[in-house]
Order: sequence, then C-alpha cells, then structure tokens
Amino acid sequence: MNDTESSRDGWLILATFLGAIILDKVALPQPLTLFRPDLLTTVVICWSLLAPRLAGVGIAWLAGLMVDVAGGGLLGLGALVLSLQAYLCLMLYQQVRVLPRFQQVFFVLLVMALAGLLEVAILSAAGKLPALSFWYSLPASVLSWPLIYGLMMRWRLPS
Amino acid sequence: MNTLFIRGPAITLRFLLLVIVSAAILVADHRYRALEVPRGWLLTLMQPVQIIADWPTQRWHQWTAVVSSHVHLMQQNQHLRETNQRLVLEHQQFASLQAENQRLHALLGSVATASQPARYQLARIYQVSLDPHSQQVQIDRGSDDQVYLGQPVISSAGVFGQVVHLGPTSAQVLQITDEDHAIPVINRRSGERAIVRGEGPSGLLKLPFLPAHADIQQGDLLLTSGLGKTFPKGYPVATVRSVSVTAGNNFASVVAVPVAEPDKVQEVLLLWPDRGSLPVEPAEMDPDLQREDDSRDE
Repeated sequence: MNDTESSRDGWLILATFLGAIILDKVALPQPLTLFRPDLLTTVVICWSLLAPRLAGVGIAWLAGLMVDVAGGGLLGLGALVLSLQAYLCLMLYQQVRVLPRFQQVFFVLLVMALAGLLEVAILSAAGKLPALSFWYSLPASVLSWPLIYGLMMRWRLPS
Repeated sequence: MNTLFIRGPAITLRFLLLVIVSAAILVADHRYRALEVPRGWLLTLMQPVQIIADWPTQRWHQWTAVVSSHVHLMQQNQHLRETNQRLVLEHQQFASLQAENQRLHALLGSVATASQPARYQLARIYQVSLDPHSQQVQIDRGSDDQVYLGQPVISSAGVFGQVVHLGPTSAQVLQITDEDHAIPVINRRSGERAIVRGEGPSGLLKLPFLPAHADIQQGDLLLTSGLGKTFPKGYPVATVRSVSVTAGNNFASVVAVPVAEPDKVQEVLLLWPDRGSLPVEPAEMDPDLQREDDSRDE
C-alpha cells in the first residue's frame, strides 16, 4: 500500500466516523429510537478489521469522547467502551478475517455484547443502572455490521 | 512489514494508557465535576454536528406546518387568541395583586418571596438524540448569552430543568425527570414540603421519604418552594398521579407527573431569578437580627 492510497483511506475513515456520529444523533420517534443501531460502533469495528494499520484505538477513543460530550452523559464512558472494541478487533483481525461471514458476525456480536456488559457495569457503579431496553439496540447494531463491512470493502482500493 | 511485529505490544500499551485516562476522566467528571470547562470547549467543537443532525427534524416540523390544513391553522389561531385574551385579563390584576401582597408581607414583617424573574430569554431545543441514560436536552444559548451553570429552565407550562453543561453558544439542560435531579417543592393545597426526584426513562417523578401520614392526595399541584436556591418560588412542577400506602411501610409511595410535558416541548425559557425571589442567606440577613442572635449566644 503506497502513501496516496493510505491517505485516501485516512480521509475515508474520518468521513465515515463523522457520518456515523451525525446519523446517530438524528432524532427518531420514541419507540424506534430504542432499536436503532449504534452506527459509530459498527464503523469502528469495520475499520479496525479492514484497515488495522490506519484505524487505531486512539481515534476510536477520541470519537467516543466527542460523542460523550455531545450526549451530555458520563464523560469517558463511550471513549472507554469504543476503544475496548477497537482493541479487541485489532488484536484478532488476522484470525477474524479468514473466518466465514457468519462466524464473523458472531465475533462482532461477542465484541458488542462484552462492550455492553462493561457499559452496564460502569453505569450501575455510577448509580444509573440502565433499563432492559438498553439491549434492544444490540440486534440492529450487529446486523448493520455485515452491510457496512461489505460497503467498505468495495470503497477501499484493492490492496 | 516490520510494523507487524511491534504492533501487538505497542497497541496493548496504548490501550492500557487509554483505559487509565478514561477511568481518570470518569472519576474527575462524575465524582468531582472538575471537567466542566473543557466540556464546554468540546461542546462548542461538536455544535456543527448537532446543527446538522437537527436539520432533518427541523425541516420535517416545517413541512408538516406547511401541509397542515387551513382549517387546522384557523383553529390554532383562534385557540391562541383566546389564550392570549385570558392571559391579558389575568395580567391586568397581577400588578395590583403583587403590590397588595408586598404590602401585607410588610405588615407581617416578612419578606415577599414570590416575584417575577429579573430577566428571561427564549431558547430553542435542538431536536437531536442525546445520551439515552439521562434525560437531557441541548439548547441554542450559552455563556455568551449570560447563561450560567445551574440556571433554572421552564417551559410555558411549568418547571423543565436546569443547566448542567455550558458552552459559549449552547448548553445542556438536565430535565426534572432525570434520576440525578431533585427539586424541593411545596404542596399548594396543604402547604407541606417535599422533595421531587426524577424516575428516569419513564418520564415520571417520585416523592421519596414522605411519611405515610403526609397530607397528600391524587391531583395535588406541587410548586417550587425556592428552598434549593436554584429555582425561584412558586412555579408549578408536577401533579400527583397516585398515592399508595402499604401496611408496615412508614413511607408513602407517591408518583407525580411533570406539568411541563417534556416530550412535547420545542422551546424553553431561561430564567434569571430576581434576588428577592430566593431565600435570604444568613449573612445577608438584617444586621439588627444577627446582632440579637449574637447577644443571645453570649
């Protein structure tokens, strides 16, 4: 991979992060908003598996911190959870890439569920135990992963 | 390709560093509230994102307003006209009632506590989804408009919340329905005092630690008592929905509904309370009274 290709990918990563953050913030009607996928998480996992040299834990952490600020909740929670997911993917991307797609989706489910458990643990330690509806968004997030992953594989230059 | 081999440990080290930083930030922000200033800067940095995310919902509201029928608009207009007329009528008596109230308070030798705020300003709520674990909204006014942390925010119907995070051009408002929010109230019918806490996602309120024999019934209106020094006295907060007392329990479990209808509100009012409407600090009390206290101590 040469320099122009990696800088092109770098811009693509930034653009998709920003796009996901904006889409996550668009208000939806009340019942729907419980089931919406967490697009930023999906995008972070996609890039960590696809371009592990460019998308590190640092950018995931920074994106999480900005979302925390914009959301007004616990500062540092989203940053921690997103960087954990990026870290797991970066450590295991070589093994995960060769798996069939179905097992990849299962891996993503495990990563997201682990991150969700960590989030619930920290939230309850802070005295804000989330309702059961916290988990309603997990299926949509997991299912949005193969779609976005497929799209991103096409966007990237063959390398 | 040499990066392949140093990558593993380097990335673990970086991740561990980020975990420690995150933990430090979590504690400093949640326990000590020490990061409000950097939070304000970052909030400004994120404002373009809020504005872009707000745009589709904003357009949708405008579009539904355009296509809503002529008849509907006429009805709305008629309704607003009637409300306006009623308010004008009520306001005509307000000045004389206020003067009378102050005179009676002066006769009793006490300070009149209910008064109009010194200043108020309208703020628009950004229609964006915020942190799902807390009941907050973001408004388009900030410290450039003299907004301050802890400032009371009301809607046209009643108390809405208070400012918790503040940037130069926008602020985040914690609603009274949030679990972390508590507000001292007074029952308009019985005059009993209580604390109203948020219940979180249900959008309801509860009154904890209210004795089972407390004089409170369904339909009671709860007003701000002004004791918390954040909210001025006399604004409606909630109506009591249900009171239940179980045998053997010393406390009544009381559920209340916020008057402000937080889900439907698109604009709120920021209040700058008049100093007279908040309870007097002991240090600001009449010097004669204080001297009396001192001499009693001696």
